Amino acid sequence: MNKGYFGKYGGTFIPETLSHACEELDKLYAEIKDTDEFKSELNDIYVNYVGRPSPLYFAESLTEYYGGPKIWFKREDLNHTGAHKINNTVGQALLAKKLGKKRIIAETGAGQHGVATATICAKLNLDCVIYMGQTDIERQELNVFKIKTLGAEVIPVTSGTATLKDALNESIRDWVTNVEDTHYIIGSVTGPHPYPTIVRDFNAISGKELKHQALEQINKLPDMIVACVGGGSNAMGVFHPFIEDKDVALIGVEAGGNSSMDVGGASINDGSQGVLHGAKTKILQTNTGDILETNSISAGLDYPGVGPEHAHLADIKRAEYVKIYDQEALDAFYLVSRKEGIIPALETAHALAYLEKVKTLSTDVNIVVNMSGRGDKDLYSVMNNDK
Amino acid sequence: MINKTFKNIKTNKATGFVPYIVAHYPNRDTFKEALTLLAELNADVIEIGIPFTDPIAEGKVIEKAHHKVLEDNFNISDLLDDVKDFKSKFDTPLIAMGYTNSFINPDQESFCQNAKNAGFDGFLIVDMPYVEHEMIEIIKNNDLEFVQLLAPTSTDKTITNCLANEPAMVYYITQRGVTGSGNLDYAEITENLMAIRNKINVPLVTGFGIKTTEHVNQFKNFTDGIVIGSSIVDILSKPNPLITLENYISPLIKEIKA
Repeated sequence: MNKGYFGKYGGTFIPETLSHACEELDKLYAEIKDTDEFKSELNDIYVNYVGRPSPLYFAESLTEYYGGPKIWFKREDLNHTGAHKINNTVGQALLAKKLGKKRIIAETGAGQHGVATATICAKLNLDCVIYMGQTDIERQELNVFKIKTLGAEVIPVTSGTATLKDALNESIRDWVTNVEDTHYIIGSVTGPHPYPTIVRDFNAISGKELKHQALEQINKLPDMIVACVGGGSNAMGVFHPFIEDKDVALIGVEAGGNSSMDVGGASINDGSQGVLHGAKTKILQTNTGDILETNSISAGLDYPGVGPEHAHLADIKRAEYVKIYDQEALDAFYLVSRKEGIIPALETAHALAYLEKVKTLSTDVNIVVNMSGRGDKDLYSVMNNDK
Repeated sequence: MINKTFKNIKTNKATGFVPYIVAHYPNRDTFKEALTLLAELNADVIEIGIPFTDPIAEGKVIEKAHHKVLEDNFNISDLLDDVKDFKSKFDTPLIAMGYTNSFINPDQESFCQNAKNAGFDGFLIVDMPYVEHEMIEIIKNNDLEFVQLLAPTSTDKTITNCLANEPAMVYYITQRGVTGSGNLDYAEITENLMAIRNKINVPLVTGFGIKTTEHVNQFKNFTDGIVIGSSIVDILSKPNPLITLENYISPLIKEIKA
C-alpha cells in the first residue's frame, strides 16, 4: 500500500513539483513528533498562548430545555483566535521553522484558519499570505480585517466559485511557484499525505483532553461526540482518540446548504469517490468528474471535499455522517446563544442542530458537542440573512 | 507510437515540436481546425488538455480556457468523436493531458478503453504521482502510453524510481511555477536536463513558459522535444485564431527543426 492511505482514501495526488516538499515534511514530522523537545515546545504554546486546555462545559440550560440527554460542550471556541484552527497552525508553524521556511501561505474559507495562521506567523516572525475567495471575503469582512491587522496579506481569489476550493487552488499554485522557501499550512485534514495525518494529530489535543475531562467530570467516556465536518479537522481531532472506544458514537455533521438547492456541502452524504486537492476521497462532482459548486450559509463548510480519513470512517461505519440544512443551523445558532449565552460559529451551529434529532434519548446519555468556534465572525451574515 | 515518433526524430538528429491545446477551446470547430493545422505543420506529438474545474498546475491563460469550455457544456464523447475523426486522417500521436479526476469516470478502466478506442495514444496526468503504480498499470494495460512529469525539485530517487512504470516519454517542467510562467533559468534548466539524460533513456521533452524562438534556441539541443502551450491557447482566444496561430508557430517550428 502506498503511503498516506486510510483504507482506499488518501494518497499524494499533486504535481511533481511539490512531491519533494511533501516528502520533506513527512520525514521531518516522523522524526520529531515524539521527541520531548518538540512536545514541550508545542505544549508551551498550547498552554500559554492558545489557552489550553479548553473546558468541558455542562450545558445545563440546553439540557433542561430538551429534557433528554445531558449535553456538554468541548469549548474550542475559547481558544485564542476563537476556534480549533489554532491547534493546527501553531504545530505546523513550528514544523515550517524547522524546515527553514520563512514564508507561510494558507487558504481560508470562514477566515478562522486565515486568522489562526496570521496569528502564529506574527508571533514567530514568518511572512504570511492568505488566499481567500472573493465571496468569502464579502461574508467574512471582520476576519479579513483581523488577518490584515496581524500583518498578513490577503489575496482575493475570483476564479471558479470564488470560495474555499478556489482559495485552495490558488494556494497550491503559489506553493508550486515558491516551494523552496514557502510552507503551505493546509487548514484541514485534507490535501496530500502527510497533511491529513499531521492536521489530525495537532487537532487531536482536543480529543485527548476530552477523554481526561470526561472521566473526571462524567465519570465515564461520553456516549456520543458530535462535530461539524467541512474538511473535517475539528471532528477528526476530537474523534481520533476515541476511535478504538467502540461504545462512543461519533457523529459528523455535514452542511446540507439551502434545502431548496440541489447541492450543499455534504461530500460524504451526497458525494462519490474522486480525487481533489491532493487526495482520493468523497467529493461532490458531476458524472464526468468536474467539481460541483457547493452552497452553505457557513463559509467553513462550503467545500466539495472531505478529509480522506472521514471517508474511511464512514465506509467502515465507525462514524456516522448526517446532514443539517442552513435553516436548522440558524435555529440552533439562536437557541444556543439564548439558552447558554454562547454565540456559536455557524459551522458549529450545524453540530448543535443535530441535538434536535437526539433530544428524545434517555437522560442517562451524555453527548459532547465539539464547539469548534465562536460566532463573532458570523454576525454580519446572520444579520443579513435575517433582513 | 510516441516512442516510434521520437526514434524517427532522433535518427534525423532533430528536435520534436509538441503543441498543447485545450479540448474544444475556444469552441469545438476552431479546436478541430487547430488540431488539423498543427498536424499539417508537422507537430510530432499533440497534447490535448481535458478541461477540469480545478486545474491546479495551470496559469491564468489555460485555467480560463478550461473554465470557458466547461461553461460551454464540454462533452467528453464529442471530443472522442473528434479524435476518431482526426485519427482517420493523420497518424500524429495524441496525448490527453489533465487531472486525475477527469480520467477515472465512470471508472478508470472504462475511461481508458474509451480514450484508446477513439485513438488517443497516451495520457499525461498532472497530479498522478509515480507511486500510484496500480493506476498507471491500468493505463498501460489498455495499451495507452504514460508520460511522466519531472520538475526542478524532483529528487534523484524519483528520477530513478519513476522508470519502474516504463513511461513512454518524460516531460521536464522548466520551472517552479504554473504553466505559462516567465521565470526561465537557462543554466538550471540545461543542467537538470543533462542530469536527467544521464539517468534515463526515454524521450525527454521540455515545457512550461517556452514562448519564443530565443527560448527554443536555449534548450533544443538538450531535449528531444519542445512543448508550447499557454501562448498557443492564448492565441486561440483571439480573433482570426488559425491565421494568427500559423504565423506564430511557423517560425518556432523552423527554429525547433533547424
